[in-house]
Amino acid sequence: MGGKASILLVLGFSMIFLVIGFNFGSLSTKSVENNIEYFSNSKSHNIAVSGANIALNHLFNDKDWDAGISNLSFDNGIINVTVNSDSSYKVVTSTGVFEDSESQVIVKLQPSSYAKFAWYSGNMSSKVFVTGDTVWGPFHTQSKLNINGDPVFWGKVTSLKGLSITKGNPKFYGGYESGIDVPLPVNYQFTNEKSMAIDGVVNHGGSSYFEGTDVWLTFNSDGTVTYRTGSGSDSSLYSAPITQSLNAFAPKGVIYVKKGNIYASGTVNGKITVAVGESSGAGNGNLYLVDNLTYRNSPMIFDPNQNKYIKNESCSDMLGLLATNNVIVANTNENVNQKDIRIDASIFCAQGGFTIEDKTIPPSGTIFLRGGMVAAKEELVAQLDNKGVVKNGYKKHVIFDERFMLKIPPVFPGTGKFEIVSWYE
Amino acid sequence: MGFSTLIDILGSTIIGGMLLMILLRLNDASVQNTYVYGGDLMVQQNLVEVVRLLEHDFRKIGFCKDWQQIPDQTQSIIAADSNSISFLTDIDSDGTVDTMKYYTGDPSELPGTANPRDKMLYRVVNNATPVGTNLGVTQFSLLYFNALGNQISFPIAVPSEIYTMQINITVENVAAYDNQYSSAFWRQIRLAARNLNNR
Repeated sequence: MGGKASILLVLGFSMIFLVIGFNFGSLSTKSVENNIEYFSNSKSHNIAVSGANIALNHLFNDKDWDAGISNLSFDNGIINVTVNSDSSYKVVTSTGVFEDSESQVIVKLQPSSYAKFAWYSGNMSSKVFVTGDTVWGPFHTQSKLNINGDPVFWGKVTSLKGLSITKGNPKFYGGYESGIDVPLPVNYQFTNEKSMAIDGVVNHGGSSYFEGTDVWLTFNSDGTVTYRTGSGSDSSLYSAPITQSLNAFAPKGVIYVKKGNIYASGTVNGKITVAVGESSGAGNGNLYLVDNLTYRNSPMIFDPNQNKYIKNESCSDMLGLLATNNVIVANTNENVNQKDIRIDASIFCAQGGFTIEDKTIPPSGTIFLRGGMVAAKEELVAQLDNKGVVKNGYKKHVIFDERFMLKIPPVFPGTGKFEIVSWYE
Repeated sequence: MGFSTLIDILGSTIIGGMLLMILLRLNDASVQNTYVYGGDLMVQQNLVEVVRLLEHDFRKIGFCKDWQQIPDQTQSIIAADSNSISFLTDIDSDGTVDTMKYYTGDPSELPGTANPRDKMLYRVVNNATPVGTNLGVTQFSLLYFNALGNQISFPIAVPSEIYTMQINITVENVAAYDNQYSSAFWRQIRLAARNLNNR
């Protein structure tokens, strides 16, 4: 009897321990499985991200690269990448596989335009951003970004050669990246703009292509433009004015002057790019702003609720000002002596910068630019006394026209590179 | 005989009692361990679920299938605080911009759970009625860093300054054996939502 009881007792306890052991083993197994599953998912995701970064590096080095990546072994997993293109976009799809887990990253890219910059400077030279400086919109420089104080940058800031902070606490409200290379090609020529202007003249009855002459352009708010040809800054010596609708004058949306200067002002009604190219020295290839040059409606308006400038949806006008050399605020009665000058445009200076014609003029108000400024060189528009007060020239107030993040003036120069516009993971 | 029998009965009662005590203790220990280890597993599973959800959503900050709906993605974070964040995203990849908000409730919202520290983690899409899940979250804290890697102090006046963020989450059992709550902690040291830095 005692022996049977003992056997039953041992069997009973064994059964209990087996069940408990199985239960605890099962808990441990589930815990490990849970851990492994999360690890596998994370790993496959990281592999997919790595694949996307490898592919993007190929694309940034060679914008026509579309070979993709097939079954590349990477960190104990596999990478597959495909690149699909259409006229507007490239789509990079990277798939990372690790064990049984698979993740995908989809990156969309589009050709990048210089118009997306509120301020682009090929060479900042000795320019230092100090307390009180504010840049609204994306900023890029090919040189080092010098900081000495607490400037505020509201858009994304990129620089090729990094950041030099002497002192202070700069505010980068749109982020900052260094090592970003967006060069302005040496001896940049407005080839596309010229072709479009010629096409407009030859095939569409336009008259917006000029050679070897200066052109005086006045944009009218009724959608017309008045132009004259001649030489120099005295408009009285020019040919009789001709007024045409902007569409008839420049059917392809481009006005091009070869080996001359442009003197522009007025109110733009429509979308137009004005280019002055192929200069044969500093004496031409310049665009002079003889008076205000604005849109009919303000492209950006201040929203007190958001405490910032926002897009004005009722503004549809768009202007690009392209010059081989400089875009210059002319020394005219309309501009000088405490008369502000207002400019609505994205400005592009291929070899020069945005400057003033006479650097000895008295304090002359403020340059209000609503658009963007792309320049190979950083030029001065003011000289300060030892108290930091303007003694010659203008103050500068620049607001980025955020519409240029999506749409640009006709045939505005592109960077020749792609930019990421969407990253899905 | 009588005394011997009495000794036998007494002895077997003591031995039987000891065996019974062992059995009861075994049962108690078994129940305790089952609760503790099962609780550990649940805590781990809940933590992984929360983390997966957060990673899934936070990586899509600023994403929209139709990217032109958010042309300046640096503006995608609408508001950010130490335990809440709201941002623009495209939750179902349909090209329509959604707003998403994460925040935690107060522990007093969960009087039915034994754990005095757990709170609801709310995930609100657009203007939907806030619906939370109680996965035993006792800590959901966020720290934010600017482009230079410096921590941004609260309150954050300009959310677009946020470049990366640190996420801290602690999950505990909603109930535990003998108030011995298991907990698991997870920290994402620097989560950089890629779309914030696109353009």
